[in-house]
Amino acid sequence: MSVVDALQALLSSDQSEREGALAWLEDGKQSDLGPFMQALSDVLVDTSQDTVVRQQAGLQLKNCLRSRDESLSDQRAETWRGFDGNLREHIKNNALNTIGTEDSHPSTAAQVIAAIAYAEIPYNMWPEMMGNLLSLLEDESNENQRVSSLEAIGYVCECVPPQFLAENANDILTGVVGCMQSGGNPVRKAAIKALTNSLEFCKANFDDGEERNFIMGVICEATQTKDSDDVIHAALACLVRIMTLYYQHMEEYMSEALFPITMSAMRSENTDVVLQAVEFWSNVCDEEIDLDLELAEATELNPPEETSKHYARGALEYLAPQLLELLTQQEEYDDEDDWNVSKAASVCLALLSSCVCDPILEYVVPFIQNNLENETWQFRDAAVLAFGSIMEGPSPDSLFPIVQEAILPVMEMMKDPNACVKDSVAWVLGRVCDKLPDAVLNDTCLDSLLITLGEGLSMEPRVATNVCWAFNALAEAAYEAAKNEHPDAEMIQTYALSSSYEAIVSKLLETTDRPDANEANLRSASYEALMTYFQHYAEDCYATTHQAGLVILERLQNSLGLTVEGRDSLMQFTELQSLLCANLQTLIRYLHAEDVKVLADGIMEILLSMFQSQTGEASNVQEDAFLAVAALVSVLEEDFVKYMEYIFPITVTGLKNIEEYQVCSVAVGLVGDMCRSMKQAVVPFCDSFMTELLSNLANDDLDRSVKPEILCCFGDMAIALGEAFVPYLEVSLSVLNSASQAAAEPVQDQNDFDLVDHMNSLREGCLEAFTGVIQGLKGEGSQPHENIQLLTAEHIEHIIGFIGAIVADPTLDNNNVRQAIGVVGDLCKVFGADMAGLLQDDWVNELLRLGHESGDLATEKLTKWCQRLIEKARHG
Amino acid sequence: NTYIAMENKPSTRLSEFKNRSSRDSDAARNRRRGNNVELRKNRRAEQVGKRRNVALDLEEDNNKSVTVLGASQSQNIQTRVSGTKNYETVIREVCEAVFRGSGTDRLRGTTRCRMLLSKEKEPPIDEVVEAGLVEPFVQFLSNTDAPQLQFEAAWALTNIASGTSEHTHAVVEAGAVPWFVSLLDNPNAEVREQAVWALGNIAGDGPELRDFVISHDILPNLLTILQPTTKLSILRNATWTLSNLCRGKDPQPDFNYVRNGIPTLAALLYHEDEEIQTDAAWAVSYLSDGENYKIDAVLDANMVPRLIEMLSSDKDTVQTPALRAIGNIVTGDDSQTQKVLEEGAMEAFVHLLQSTAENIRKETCWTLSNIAAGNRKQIQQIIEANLVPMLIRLLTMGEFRTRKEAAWCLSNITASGDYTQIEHLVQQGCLKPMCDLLSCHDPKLISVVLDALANILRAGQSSDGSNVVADFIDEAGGMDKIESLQNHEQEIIYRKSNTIIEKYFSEDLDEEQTEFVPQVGENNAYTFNTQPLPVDNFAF
Repeated sequence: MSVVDALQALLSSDQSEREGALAWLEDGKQSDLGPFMQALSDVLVDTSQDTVVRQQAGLQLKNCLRSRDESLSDQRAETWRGFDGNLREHIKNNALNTIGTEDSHPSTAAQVIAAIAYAEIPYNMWPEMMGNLLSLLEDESNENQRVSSLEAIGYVCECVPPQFLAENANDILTGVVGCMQSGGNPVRKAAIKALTNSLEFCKANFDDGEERNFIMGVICEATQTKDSDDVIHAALACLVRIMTLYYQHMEEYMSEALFPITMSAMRSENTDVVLQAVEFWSNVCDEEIDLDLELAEATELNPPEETSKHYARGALEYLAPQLLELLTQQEEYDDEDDWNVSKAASVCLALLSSCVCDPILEYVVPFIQNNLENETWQFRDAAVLAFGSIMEGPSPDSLFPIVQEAILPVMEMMKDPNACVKDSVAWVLGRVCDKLPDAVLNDTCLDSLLITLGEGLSMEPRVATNVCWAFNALAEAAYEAAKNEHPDAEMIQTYALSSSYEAIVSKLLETTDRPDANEANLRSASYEALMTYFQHYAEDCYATTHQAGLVILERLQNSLGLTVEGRDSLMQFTELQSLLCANLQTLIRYLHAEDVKVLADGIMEILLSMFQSQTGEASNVQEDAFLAVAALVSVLEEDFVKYMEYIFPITVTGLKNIEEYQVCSVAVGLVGDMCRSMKQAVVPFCDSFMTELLSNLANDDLDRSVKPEILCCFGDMAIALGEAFVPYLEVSLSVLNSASQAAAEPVQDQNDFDLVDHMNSLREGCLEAFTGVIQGLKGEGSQPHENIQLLTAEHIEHIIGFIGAIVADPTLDNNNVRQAIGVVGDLCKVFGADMAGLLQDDWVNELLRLGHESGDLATEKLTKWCQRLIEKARHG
Repeated sequence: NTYIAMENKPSTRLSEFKNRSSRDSDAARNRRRGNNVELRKNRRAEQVGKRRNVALDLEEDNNKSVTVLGASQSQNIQTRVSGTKNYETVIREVCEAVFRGSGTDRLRGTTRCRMLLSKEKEPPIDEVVEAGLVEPFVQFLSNTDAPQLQFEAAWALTNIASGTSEHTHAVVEAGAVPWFVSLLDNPNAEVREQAVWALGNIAGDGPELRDFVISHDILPNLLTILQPTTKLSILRNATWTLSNLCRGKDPQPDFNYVRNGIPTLAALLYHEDEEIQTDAAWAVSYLSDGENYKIDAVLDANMVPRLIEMLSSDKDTVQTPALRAIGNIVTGDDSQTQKVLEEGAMEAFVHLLQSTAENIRKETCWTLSNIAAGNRKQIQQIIEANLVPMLIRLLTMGEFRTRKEAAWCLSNITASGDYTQIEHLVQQGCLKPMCDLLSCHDPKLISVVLDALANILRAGQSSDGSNVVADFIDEAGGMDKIESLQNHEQEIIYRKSNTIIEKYFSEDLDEEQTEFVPQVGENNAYTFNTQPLPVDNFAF
């Protein structure tokens, strides 16, 4: 088989032929990637080959360089950079030479070029690339070549980090804007897209008034193209991006151009154009909401750099009516996952409301009043959507009378013949419960609301799903209201839902069993709602909650006997079991402990057989089942020991589940809970647990988020075991030694929030572990146990060194601060004057300052405590 | 598997439509995971917290040194509150002794409770009030047969009254005030002192309780105590109590009542003890804060020379109240202000403007701004004391609040001053820093500076139409700033800057540019013109 044959075979109608070709290509990649890529590039550039074959060659080639998975992309880029220079040169030339020879767009060669650029540009290995592409724009007669080259520029600008392209900004802008002025529509469209992707590194050009005027002029003109909605659409998308990136520069264009352009685009026949125009204003609102937040947080000495120009407020009188009109453009048969004009208008209206607050009411309220009873369902729906959209922004005082007036007619509309309207009604009722609970938690409204929602629960699945959400919001609101009334009560004795609690729970239980509950996520929504009720009950509803608990248990029991075939049914089934486990877990936490203890045998029996059943292997079932076990451990404490011999091997299997790391993570958590709850009784199992935990820590394939949890688990174990932890001391401390060395590294990029989070949880893991070890060794007595001497001066120096290092890192979070203060205090308490030499002023003062300024009472108290102990250590 | 470039972001917006984002079952699972992790963290923290015994450790420490209020009480017996017993037990035992015990038990119980309340950190006032101990303590105040019990009860009540406002009210509601007032002439000095202290705490709670204390006619007894021969510690407390009687607005105390304290205050200002001086000066500053007849009352007592002397103290704690009092006096009419100036206040201000304490510099600027609002003769005194360069310097340095007061002061000079006086400001270089302040974020300050610039520009206008000030302002970058302030969201600033531009800079403006100047409307929003249809030619 040749490369061409294989590529051809990829398009065959015969499945085995396709699979054979894929296998052959995969083999080629595996055996000798470089020459294989070269061969692909030779096909790509060969105009005598069939178009589709060349396209396939290009895609295969691109896939050798990039993947959706970013870390894989980086790996492939590294392999590429390792190739021989001549080979890379050859492939790059082929890709460049292909530009302009393809008949279809977007160009595959353009994608290949971008993939290579991603690998090489940051290493300055292809400095001439942009110049080459730009020179291909010069021949104005060759439209195809200009389009492909612009596509390549667009892709490059999209995937290469902007800082590596900034030096090309002027050349790119000149070339691209030139094409916008001189080319036909395909060229202009490609040019605008390239420009949109370049915006981020054109800051200098946008800061220069003259250049900015020029660029803005060209884009605004493009929005007025007469014969291509594609160009208009691209130009509007470009303005959306510019608005977000360069909001502060937009003042001089706003009333002259951007406002009339977008307002008239909203009246376009072309849906995509309308969507972009709406998106423009959604972005303006987003931006101004953020700027107002920044202003609110700013202080006199620390004023905000930029402030809102209040375009949304200014445009309100024109924008609001326009959006309300767009709101009525629902499609007759709307797919819930489709994005359309009406949905865009609804989202934009809600943002506008958050942005301008009370003044929105003047426009929206009459619209609601006039259209709730309109003959056309689109208008009725629009009125309900509009009602929901203003629930955020205006003050509660302004909203209250409006909601009071509209809520009863809106509830009536739950009987509307149109499902979409009912769906919106259910949503709005939930919004009201969520945002303005006082409007419904009163005698006039609550009964009707409960009847309306109850009826809604029997309607179409999509409606019922939104009703479940409304029931959630209602329970939380009612519970919150009762708590506010009795802030000191440990338990809520009664609340607004007490008399209807039983009916609601039984109706929800019924809903979970509806034959069509698979649709519109109804099953999961109704079980979620049940969980909310199990968490938010008043004591006078306890019997119902307890009874519902028995129903859940029974359902779980029954589910064990079922066998399921077919992938879809199996998925639904595991989803069901997982939801039942989640409900069980909630009930264990919220039912009275004595009742849980009575049920414990039955619960464990069911959970154990579930771990061993067909679906017990599904990771989501395992995860929720482990969480249920953990909840039970915390309630039963030492009494849980009797189940250990059964659950122990299952837990170990869970710990070994590296691939489904979420399962491993809950198993680690469970081990910690076992230690904390059962104390010494867990000793016999700790050898095995320790072995698994240590081997997980050493495993590079385990997701990094689990490792800090394992360190915390060491701490839990050390505290629980006390003296019995001594055999593990040496190995734990040496693991902690290297973990804390890694955790002491300062975070290089403070804007890499994932990394910051990870480092802080790693630090948390180390500090929790140190805390556990110290507490465990010193024991509970008032005098430290002699075991504490096993912590040598070297260990202590290391711990203190670690804390000293992390205190200097500005990314340290309050949680870490509290834990670090705890560890320092513990050490001073035990070792007293021996610590004095280690407590250098610089970091100690900084740590105490952070503690005093944490804003958290417990931390401040702990800080005082620690400070005293430090003083004692220093001065006796 | 192709790249999708720059399309709209429906997927993220779609999740904002109705409550789609909350429907995702993965999201629900993530919430469960999150809750679980949170729960576990709390339990872990709770466990370690219990083992650490933070509260106990802190308490042990406190009990080592039970703090005693006031130096004179140091000879009293110190019964150590045992570290192992918690408050609950102690308070229960105190109640037992106070409610059911014999005379000696009562004294011992009250003393013990007073010790507990004298803890420096977190004395258990709440617990003592809840135990219902306030009422018996108030009864003990009347127990003239047992001066020691009177004293201990007074002390305990003083400490309760020093707690939150709720605590103070509890003491007042139990009827303590009349007793305390009558105790002011008790033969026992310690009891007297305790009563003074308690009443100070009560009056210091706020206008309501202050007037309540006044309604029990505290002043005659208090003024009797305020004799030079009185022991220092009582004198200090009594002065502080007197200042609390004068203190507070909404409403201020009845001036006709508290003015009876003025002669005493005038004497106290000369007391050698700094604490007494300071509290007396604070009292004077409260009294002088208001209508001109109040200022006259202070002036008539001839306190100004002493207040000005205090301005030269090397402690800012002494300077601050004196300066506040002087500052209040110069808010009066020109003749009242003149009296202060005649006593040589200007020399003191030179010294104060260079203080290292930010607050002193700020308050001095404020005082000067009130003087600058007076007549030209008084402005001339500011100029002759060579204060203008210092004020200009303060425009550019220090904290914002100080810069603001300095700007007010200079602005007032431009408003009331004559041509030569305004010229002096310009010669000293006020224009550049003023223009710089136009880019601050405080609309009030911008407005003040704009007024000042307008006044200076008016003075700079020649008959031939040229304006040397306008040129200065332009050079200092001020014109651009004023121009862009025409877009300010506040109407008043828009108007002021617009007037300045029209009057003094209009010929410099490019006609075309004004078209881009957006209109700012009333409701703080960007105003769009009617909707012009887009034109084809967007040459910006």
